[in-house]
Amino acid sequence: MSYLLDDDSKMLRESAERFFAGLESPKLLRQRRNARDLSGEACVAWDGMVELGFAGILIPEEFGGVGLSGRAGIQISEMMGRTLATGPFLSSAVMAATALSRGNNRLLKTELLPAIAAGTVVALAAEETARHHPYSISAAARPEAGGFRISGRKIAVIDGNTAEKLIVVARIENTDRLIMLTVDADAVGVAISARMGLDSHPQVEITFDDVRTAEADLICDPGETRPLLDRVYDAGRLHLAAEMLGAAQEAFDRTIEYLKTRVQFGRKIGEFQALQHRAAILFGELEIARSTVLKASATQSADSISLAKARVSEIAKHVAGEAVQMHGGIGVTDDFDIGFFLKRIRAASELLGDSAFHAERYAGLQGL
Amino acid sequence: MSDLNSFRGEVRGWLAENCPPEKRGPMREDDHCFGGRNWQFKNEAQRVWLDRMARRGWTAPEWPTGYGGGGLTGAEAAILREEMTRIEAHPPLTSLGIWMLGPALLRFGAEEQKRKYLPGIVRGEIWWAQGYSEPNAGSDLVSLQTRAELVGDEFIVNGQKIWTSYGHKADCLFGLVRTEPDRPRHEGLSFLLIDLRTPGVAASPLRLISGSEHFSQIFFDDVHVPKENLVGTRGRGWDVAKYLLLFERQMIGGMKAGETIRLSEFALKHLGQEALRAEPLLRARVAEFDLEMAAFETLVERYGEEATAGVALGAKSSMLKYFGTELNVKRHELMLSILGTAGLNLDGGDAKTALDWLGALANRIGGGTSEIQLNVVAKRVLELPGS
Repeated sequence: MSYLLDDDSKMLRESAERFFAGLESPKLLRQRRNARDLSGEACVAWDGMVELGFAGILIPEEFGGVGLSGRAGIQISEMMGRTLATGPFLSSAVMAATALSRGNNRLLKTELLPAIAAGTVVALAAEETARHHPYSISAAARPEAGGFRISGRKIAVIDGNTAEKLIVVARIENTDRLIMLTVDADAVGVAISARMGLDSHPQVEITFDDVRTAEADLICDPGETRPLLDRVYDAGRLHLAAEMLGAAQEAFDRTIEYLKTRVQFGRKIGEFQALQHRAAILFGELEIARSTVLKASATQSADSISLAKARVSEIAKHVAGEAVQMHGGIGVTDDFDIGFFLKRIRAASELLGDSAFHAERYAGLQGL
Repeated sequence: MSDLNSFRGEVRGWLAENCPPEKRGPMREDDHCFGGRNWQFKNEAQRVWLDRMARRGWTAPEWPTGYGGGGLTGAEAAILREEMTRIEAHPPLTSLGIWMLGPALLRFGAEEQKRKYLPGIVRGEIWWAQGYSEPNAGSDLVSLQTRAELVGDEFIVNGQKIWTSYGHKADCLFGLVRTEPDRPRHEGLSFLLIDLRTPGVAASPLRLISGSEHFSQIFFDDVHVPKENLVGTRGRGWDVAKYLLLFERQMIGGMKAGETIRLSEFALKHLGQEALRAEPLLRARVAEFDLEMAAFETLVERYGEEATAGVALGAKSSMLKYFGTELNVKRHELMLSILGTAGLNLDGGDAKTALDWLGALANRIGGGTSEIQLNVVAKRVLELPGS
């Protein structure tokens, strides 16, 4: 494996950098929050991302995507983190696309993958517990002729408020077998509610009340659900790590600029060694964070992804906290952007397993 | 690529044939070969291994063949390292001549100096020590006071060096002396080579809290040094030293990464899974440490790959020294926790852990303290304003 960016990654990084830099995303995010807009429709970025092929970046060419390696795709998430851009990239282009393309339902692939690449939003409705327990699924799938009836409650459904399709994980009644299947977001018995989240992203909860599904909606064989769910989550975790890396890098860069300009006691505050040493440590930690993300993206292995998600979560939170502290009073005002980075990092660190979850998973994989 | 593959095949074959079995496997303290005028080889294998490697120039793989080096490209040298690691071959020579003086001469030395010194370094004929720190010039190295006054064709050296690795055993010293006492601090230093057999030199070992007698102090009392022993421009010795310190930091930081087993393995070996699970806080600390260490190793790997690809690492190498030595201290503290009172017995089989812990504390100080590394990054990488 290599830590150096391959040509695809470099190209994608440049185009993502250009695209997101032009969006003024922190401003848009702030406007949406101020308007308490939970519709997600003000997300102007998505059309542009679709046009650039970002929505189909992981989707094989035969299904209308770009078919790049998982390695290159993280460039987009990193740049989204840098600019706090929103859009159903993680949910639809990363997790839903991974679920469908790694599943074995060819008809579903043919139907949905090109749609995702063209901008249709598909969201994963799997989580039920506030802390991440991937296999703690109580949503019930009651078998009936030709399909299942689904009942249950899902939380923290990323982009569940704008999705046209949902990918639901449920347990076949009276068994411990899990299934993963698609459900129309407007199907009878599906109720979606969104609340404002800490990071100005919607917090979406979805209840399923005896929702009718067909066997043809199954994404994979029931026996394959757990490994597939792991793969889908790992893809999401890697992209969350990349997004946090971008957000932390931006918060850090802004902070270093501030240390070079803010004057107190008749000198730039960056002259004070107490701040210089802390800044140097943050720099080193970010370099480590970047290396873990590069390794995870190159190997795509479960342990390297947990390593990245665990370490980047901790490092990004550290960077964000220090960024606020070093900005002093202005850092805790709502008018200033740094708080938006802090909040997004905090939210992303909790999603799909926090550092404790991934440290434990990593330790388990090492045999500890 | 196929060239590199055939090179790898050639290296593998040559090593299989030429690396003596005694020079493979885990390395003990006395397996290091420092070379020099009075070196007593531990055994014939050590002598043969040095001789064979030096003949190919592979003790200094990337130096030009004209000076006795191996003339390998970065990629070829990496293959040689990998192949040596694969069979656990010991380095044939442990030498500051190779790591520090050679690079300084290649970059700053006169042609005559390169011809005179480099081939001998490759063959391990001189044991070189490094003379930077002084009792009143530690972290503030540039304030060093050892004087070298040019009188006729000779420098007359007076002063004292400290923290010189193996100064009491080495043959010669390279380091910084003050030649221009009237110039501003950075501009008054020169890089000088001193034969430690010269009359007026007295060296004695320093015993550390770990019991190690690795370091020494050296006194200079009217020591006469030929003026052609000056490396680079007079008064510009600081440039040479700064260049070399980057090598040293990279070396000290990188050295501690990945050379030993995972802490979790150590814990499982000494306590077993059941006992470890019965102490969830200890297990958590072990798990957290391994995670931090594995993350740091990705940085070491990335910087290593970038350096091989020709990306200048520069002052970022300070981060390797900082994290490498800090993590090494943490690792040894946790190892002592795992061993409990068994780790306190200096006559027992686990004594090494306590001594290595004390040694790790010294590594966090030597080669520029952790705080100095952070200063370097703040000023030279982040370009924060200085006073």
